[in-house]
Amino acid sequence: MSYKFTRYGDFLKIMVEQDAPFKDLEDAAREIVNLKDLKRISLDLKNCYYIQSKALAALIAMKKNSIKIGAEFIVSNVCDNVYQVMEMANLTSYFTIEEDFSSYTSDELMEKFFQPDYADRVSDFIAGSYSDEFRAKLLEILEMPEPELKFYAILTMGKAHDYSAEERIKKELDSDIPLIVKASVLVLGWFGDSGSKEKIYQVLETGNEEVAEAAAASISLLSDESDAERLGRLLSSHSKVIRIAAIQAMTLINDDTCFGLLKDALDKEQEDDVKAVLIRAVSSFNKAGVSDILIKGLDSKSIKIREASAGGLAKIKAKDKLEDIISRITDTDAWVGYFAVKACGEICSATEAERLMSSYDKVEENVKLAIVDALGKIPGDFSDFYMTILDNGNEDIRKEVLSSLLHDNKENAKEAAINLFANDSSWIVRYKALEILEQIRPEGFRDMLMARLTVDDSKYVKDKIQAVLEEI
Amino acid sequence: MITAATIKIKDDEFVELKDIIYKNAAISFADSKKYLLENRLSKRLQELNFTSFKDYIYYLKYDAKKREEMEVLLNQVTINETYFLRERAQMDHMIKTIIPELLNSGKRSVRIWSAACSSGEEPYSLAILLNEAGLFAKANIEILATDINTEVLNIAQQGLYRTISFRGVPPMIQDKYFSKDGFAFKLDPNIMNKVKFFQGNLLNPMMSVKVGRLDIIFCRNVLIYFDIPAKQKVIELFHKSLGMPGTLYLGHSETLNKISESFRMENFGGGIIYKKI
Repeated sequence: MSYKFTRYGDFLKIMVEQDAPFKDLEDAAREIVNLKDLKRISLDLKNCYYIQSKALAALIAMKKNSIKIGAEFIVSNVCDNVYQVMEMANLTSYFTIEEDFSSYTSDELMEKFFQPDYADRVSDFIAGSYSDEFRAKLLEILEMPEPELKFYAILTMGKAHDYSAEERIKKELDSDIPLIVKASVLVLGWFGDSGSKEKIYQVLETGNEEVAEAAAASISLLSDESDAERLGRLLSSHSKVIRIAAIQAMTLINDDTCFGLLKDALDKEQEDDVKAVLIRAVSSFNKAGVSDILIKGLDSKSIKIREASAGGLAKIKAKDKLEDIISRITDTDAWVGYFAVKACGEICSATEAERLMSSYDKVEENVKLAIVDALGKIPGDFSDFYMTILDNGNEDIRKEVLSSLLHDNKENAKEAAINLFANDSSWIVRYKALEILEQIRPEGFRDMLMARLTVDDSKYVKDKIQAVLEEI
Repeated sequence: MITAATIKIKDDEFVELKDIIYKNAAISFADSKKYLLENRLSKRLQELNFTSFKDYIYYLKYDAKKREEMEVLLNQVTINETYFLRERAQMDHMIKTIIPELLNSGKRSVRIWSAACSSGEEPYSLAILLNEAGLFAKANIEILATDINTEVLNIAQQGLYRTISFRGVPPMIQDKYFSKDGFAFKLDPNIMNKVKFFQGNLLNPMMSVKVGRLDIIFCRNVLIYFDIPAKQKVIELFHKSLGMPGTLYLGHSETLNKISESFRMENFGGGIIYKKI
């Protein structure tokens, strides 16, 4: 037998050996129907580097039998080769495919630190299931010369709150490899190791881009009342990297002193991109005067500063500056207009909504989209307006109209979604219509889906239809 | 993503963004790779003051500089790990079998294409092994290397590598061809000069004109990112670009089964090669 059932409560894991004959998989599928009280069944293909196409029929049978006994069926740890076979059979959307790191040995997991796409998630997994075995392996890695492995080993120990490794990690602050210093700086910040703060300042003051942001984050975690002033002095550093890192740290500390210093720095800063960072920083403070700073920023000659200011106004929902914000909807920079409208979506009432609608014909396409989106967030029913643009030539407008209709008038949204799902030429609109119908579940929904499944020419819409059909 | 917060992508945003990437680079993202877009793009969204992927999609569609942003996007999503002498058996096969066969048939110039070279480890590995085998002295060998990602090409052209690129590389090779440069390793300029890099999209119909007639193509661990129609187009390009006898090396987990019948598969013991029919 080339498969093994292991049960963990209401979860069943089926491990399959390499080159499992498809007849064995058929046997496994048959066995499933005799099982009881299972909620989830995972077929683990970690050891399968290839799969015969005949075996796919057994996988389908497994899924069907899982559904029969009321369990969800997933396929885990599918390698690229097997995925490709499933793709050719058009089965990738039929199966729920997941990764299950618990099937790997600790050595196999550490090896995945080399793979950028896996490293973060593997690190999270190890930290979440930390054991003496993992700890011993991570300590072994710290003695190896591989920077990437060491980086993830340190981060993983930090995420696992392994304070016993603190002294060992501290030593890495002296490493000549920035990546390792970065990990150590972050973890010592998470550990609250105030004793390392001075050393972390030194790291920040090197102006090395790779470590500065991490140093800023850790200094903010370790900060006391003396740090705002010290960081404030760094705002006049010759190094742009140091100035930006100081701004980041002060934003995270977020106290009155930091606000005052950042505000002053805005007047002195010469470089536009650092000024834009300052604007974003200031908008993270819940203080009087922030909206004035942002409104002033809207008059800057720099696009970066104007857009950061408008983005900030949207973020802080500056009700006291509503008039100024509305006046920017028709700004010559369409992204300033876009952010201004986004802010309106958060703070306007139905009265001001009229002004958004009357601006619609005067603005660029992206601002038009923001207007439709914002109207959906403003209390009231603007269906009449939506209906006038539902046949707009721009697919994104039609899509946004559907979303906003759903907020304002469910009945109208249903009618529009049924129509556009069946007739719109754009898959983006049909996809959105389907999402809306999935929520509303109108009468005859299943038939509607079945009819569309045979004629729709978009893979995305078809996949979504199949997923919804399976669910209902 | 360690320090910047991750912006979550909604289902409809993911589908639309993956369609944009597909149309511009033919790369398919499985639903299970949603996290990858979130991780790689969240910082960029924050730089642009955006709070959702919808904002970013509209930026890609409506901003005056959308072409430039498309390059930024593709650079973020087409970074793939590689290292020197990866899947070496195929490289050795080229050195010991394919090139000698070409030379024995009277050919005096050989053109090799590393079709998705990433940060250069593959074409430089070929150049190192060709040099070790003394083949540069026996024939005029040209190595072309392309990638869609301009950032990784810049790295390739600098020839500076970190230790992660040297997994499994014999110390003798590393010592002979690389010199320590701070915490990185600098490739010997004589090897760097053997490889010609340029940006190229495998789905671009003009690609065959850009690369010309070839003898050997390496395109490993790339097709896995493409869907079937895109794979077929790329293989068609390879078939068109290869002369006779043309040799194609794919990654170990890749196959032409149900993709193309214009190549014959051969097992050489240490792996698979595809010969142009």
